[in-house]
Amino acid sequence: MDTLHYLGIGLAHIFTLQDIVVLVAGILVGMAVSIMPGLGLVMGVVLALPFTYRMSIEPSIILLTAIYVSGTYAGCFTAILYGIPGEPMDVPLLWDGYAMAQKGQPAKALGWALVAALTGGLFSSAVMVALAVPMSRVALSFGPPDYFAAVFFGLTTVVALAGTSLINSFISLFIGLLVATVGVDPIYGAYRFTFSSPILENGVPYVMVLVGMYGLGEVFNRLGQGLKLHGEPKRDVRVKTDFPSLKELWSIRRTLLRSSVIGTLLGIVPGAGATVTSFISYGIEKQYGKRRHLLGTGMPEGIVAPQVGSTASVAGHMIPLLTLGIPGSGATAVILAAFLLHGVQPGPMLFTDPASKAVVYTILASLFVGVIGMCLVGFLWIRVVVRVLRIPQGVLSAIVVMFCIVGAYANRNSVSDVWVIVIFGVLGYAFEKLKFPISPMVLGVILGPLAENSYMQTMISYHNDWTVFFRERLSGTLMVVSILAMFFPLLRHLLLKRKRDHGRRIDSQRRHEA
Amino acid sequence: MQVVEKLRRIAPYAIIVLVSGYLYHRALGFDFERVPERIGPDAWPRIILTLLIAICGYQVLRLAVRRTTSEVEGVLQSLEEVADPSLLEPPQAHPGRALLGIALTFGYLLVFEVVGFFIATFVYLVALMYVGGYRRPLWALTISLAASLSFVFIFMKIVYVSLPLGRGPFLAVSVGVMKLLGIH
Repeated sequence: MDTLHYLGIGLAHIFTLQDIVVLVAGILVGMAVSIMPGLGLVMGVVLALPFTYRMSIEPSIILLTAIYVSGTYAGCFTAILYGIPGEPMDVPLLWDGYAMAQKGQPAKALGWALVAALTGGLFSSAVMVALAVPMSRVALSFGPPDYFAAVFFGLTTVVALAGTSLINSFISLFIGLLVATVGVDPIYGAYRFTFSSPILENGVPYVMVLVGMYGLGEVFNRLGQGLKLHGEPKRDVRVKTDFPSLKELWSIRRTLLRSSVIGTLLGIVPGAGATVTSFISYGIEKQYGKRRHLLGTGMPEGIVAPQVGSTASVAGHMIPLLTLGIPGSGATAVILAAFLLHGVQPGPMLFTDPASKAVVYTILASLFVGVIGMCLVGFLWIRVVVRVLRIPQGVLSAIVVMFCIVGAYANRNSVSDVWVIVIFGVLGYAFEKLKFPISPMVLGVILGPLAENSYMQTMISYHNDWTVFFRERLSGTLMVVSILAMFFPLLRHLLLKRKRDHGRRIDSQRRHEA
Repeated sequence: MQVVEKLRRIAPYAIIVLVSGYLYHRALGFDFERVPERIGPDAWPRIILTLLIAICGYQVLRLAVRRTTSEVEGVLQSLEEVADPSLLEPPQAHPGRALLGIALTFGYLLVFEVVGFFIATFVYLVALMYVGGYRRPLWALTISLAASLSFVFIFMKIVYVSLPLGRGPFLAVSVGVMKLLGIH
């Protein structure tokens, strides 16, 4: 009842002029950046951060979450209509969405995507509202070992998920954790890796790492790729949305429910962003769906599953951020930065004070309104939004670089921050070239201080006894799950290798017998 | 040729081992007052550096000794394998452009405070658009001018960021632009 009361207050706040203006602006920006290949929702959130410096906490977070949520939806338009995925998360939409459009039903395909985004977004937002208070109560009982285990879990899952090489993912993560140690140590006040440079004494702000690696690094990378779109936007395509009938919706109810649950649950896991949930939702549909054998030929389930999965992951990601103060993705890390810039530390304490509780519920309510708003914008104005594809890539990249540079400079009016983002931009480009995944490093920089603080506190409180991480019930469970997650890719690799070797042996035996 | 290829693949890991070794040495010399039976501020960085050296060392040995190097992939990779690789990560067909873009950005930062934000940004945008393959000079000049003016207006007038104005004659240009935009 208390939850509904605060949600009502939040909804009333949302409909004030300032909040509704930033919400609509956020939706439009999120849609525009997710349509453009090479930009993406994380970059959109990063680029919007400087504009929140002069805002109060509520509109700041509403702006960023609106960009985040609408960024998971608008990519479907270019994927379905032109076969151009705005982001990797939109790739599964090509297989059935583009196929359906090619069969002469682009409006219907867009209608399925809209229903999917709406269902996934509303379902996960409702779950988030229901889980927020219980999760914050659990979080209040967290001790340093539990916090360390929770962070350890986030770091290991991102390593297990990302990249073409587990070794490279680990290296990327360790580099990120190392970058996070630069500066003055919070317990002893010792200078670490500062090399007598005043710039490094305050450490490396993780927002600068994000701007550098996701913003500049991506632009350098795309310059190397020649800044070409995968396809050309056709001018004669009709941008119209046709809704599926109730009967059609009923026929895919299991897909809607399954993908909403998968998206929300995976969203809670740090590191499993919208791309992961989109691919996994499609994969599960292909394995367990009623019409799985027809997937890839333009089936509604093939559009609904990935779209529900990616949109549902947003509210899932917000749960650990708001209740534990642990961001699980690049976008939520920027939202955390916006919280901290306004002097608010997200975590269980947010749910204890009525004033901060009202702010939190306004943010939660903004997700509901944001999901509905993005679907409305998608339905009414998408003709205008898809025009961003006509902006020449060379011009767009130059403007993005400027936003990164000025955004970094605006943080502290310091050129050294700009140098930091450029250095990390070059590092991001080098990572892409050498096939080192970026997300483990970024998450390492973000979660590194939290991991170190909880590790140090545990070691000090328990007299350097590291077994405490495995002895306590909660931390022990998380540590075991983390270790299993860490070795899962290795186990899978060994099993696949064994299967392949076995197949080869049988083949050679047959050839020998023949 | 094979040896060169092998060395090229080993190089990044070897460099990380060397840099990590150096940083480990630095970590041993952190200046702090040690408390008996309590770990110091060097403990956490040393743990990370040890793991980094171990994993990179292992990779160097592995690449040096083994002929084939099949990698253990992340879980997402197996899901992405079904997608066309060019959709997820198109090839680096123009690495020179990326390097030129990086060089331009370093140059921009070097002159940023001397010539001021407006002039530096205008020139940098025109150059970056050219590197990005945009070949309409008049449009490039117009867009760069409009973008530079917009950035000055948004960040100085609305977000209240004091962008560098430059020195000497460049200062006069920046002040003129500010007057034009009504920024005091």
